[in-house]
Amino acid sequence: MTWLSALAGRWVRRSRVKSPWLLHFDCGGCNGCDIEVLDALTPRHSAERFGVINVGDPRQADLLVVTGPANRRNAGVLRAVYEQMSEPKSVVAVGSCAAHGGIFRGAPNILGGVGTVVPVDVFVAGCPPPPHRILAGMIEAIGALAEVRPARAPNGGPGLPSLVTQAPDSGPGRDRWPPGSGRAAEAADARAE
Amino acid sequence: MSALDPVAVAIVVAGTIAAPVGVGLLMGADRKITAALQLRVGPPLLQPLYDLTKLLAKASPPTDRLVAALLVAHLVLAAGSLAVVLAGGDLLVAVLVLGAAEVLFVLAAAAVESPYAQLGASRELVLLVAMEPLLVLVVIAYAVTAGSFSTAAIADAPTLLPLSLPTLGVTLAVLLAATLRKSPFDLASSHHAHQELVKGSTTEMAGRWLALAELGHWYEAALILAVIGLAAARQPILAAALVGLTYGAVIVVDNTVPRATWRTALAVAWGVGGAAAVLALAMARLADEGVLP
Repeated sequence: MTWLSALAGRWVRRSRVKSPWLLHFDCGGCNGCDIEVLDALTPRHSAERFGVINVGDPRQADLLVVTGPANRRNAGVLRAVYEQMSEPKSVVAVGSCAAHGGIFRGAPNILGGVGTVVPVDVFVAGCPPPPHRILAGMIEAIGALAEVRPARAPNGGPGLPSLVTQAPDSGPGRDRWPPGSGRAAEAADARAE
Repeated sequence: MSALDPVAVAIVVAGTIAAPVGVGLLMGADRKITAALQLRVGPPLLQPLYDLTKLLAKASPPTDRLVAALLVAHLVLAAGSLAVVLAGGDLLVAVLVLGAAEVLFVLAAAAVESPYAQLGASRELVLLVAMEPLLVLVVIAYAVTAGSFSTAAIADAPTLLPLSLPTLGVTLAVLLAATLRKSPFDLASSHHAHQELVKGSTTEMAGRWLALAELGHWYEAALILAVIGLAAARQPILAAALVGLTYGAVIVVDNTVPRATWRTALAVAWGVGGAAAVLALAMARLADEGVLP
């Protein structure tokens, strides 16, 4: 019977990883990241390939995608949303604000990144990050859904320089780095075609 | 009633337990086809089964005791209605048991305080009003042709229902669309975000309670699919083709009629489905009188 329970365990772990229902929470940034998160769910980027369904109820969600900085007004709400989600769950913080407060950092009402309020599994760099990189962050966080993990404490987040100096990957189109190289890169793409 | 044959009982139990797997695979194929129609890749074929397993295995928040009891009863009655059909029992009984199961689900949705769940519950009632009379009409049409309400007799009927009652297929497609909550019947709980109420009746359900609700709906779908298959029970290939054809038509309509309201739902159900069923019944009566071949 051990092989049977092992098989069942494998099926359950596979199911958890294959069925990440997503809850999108905006802490109050500039909404740039929110537009990109929704972009990642459109047919073009098709997050549904990975079993993602956008749900409105924290208790039905597995994956919490947070944008914007944690602030005094909504820290309690974010904490409540996180605590209403049942295990296994994981958290993706999208954008500079969610990592360390971003442009709002240092304002009197800002606590910092969302890592000051909830334990974050993956930080996605960018201001805003392009949809394919948000998708990559989600996929990385999905791996943590396989097992029920013990309760975790808020884990802070990356410091300011670590994200600002991190070069974005070479995605298609406008997100070339450093700034200005985009047009040259597009010309190179056009030549290659 | 004769003594229970253990082999027959085992077949009915096995069929009832295996039915959700079949429905889950069909729904996975449905999501693949829908994705292809929208130029997407779509989730894996096993996605509905993954979703169900995950919900069952997820740490579940405590729920209202009344809601829990109603959801379990909904599942048991829906599975029971399928078991009645598999056992060759009275089709009318199966359909009425299914109606009772759906009422229990409406009560489960209405038993919580969330206004979205309440709104979803009242819309589930509209759907019930739309589809239950159609289901009874279909069963009567089957019975007129077979001369009995017994599922075994209908399955053994020598005449092919699709040939003698062609318009009944339209009614069955309407019924399947309503059971699967496809447009224009996605008022109470929708699979897509194109309705203003996406997860109305299941708003307050999570974890294994949501899985129970889903499983109950899968049994409802299994019953409707079985009723479609019954139209050609003697030819399994034709029966499978009928099920596939009906499901395909429902998917195409779902993707072409978004944002329907309850008025559209009632108009489609009673106008199209009801008219087709009445036409089928009239033809069956005329055939009985010898006017039609």
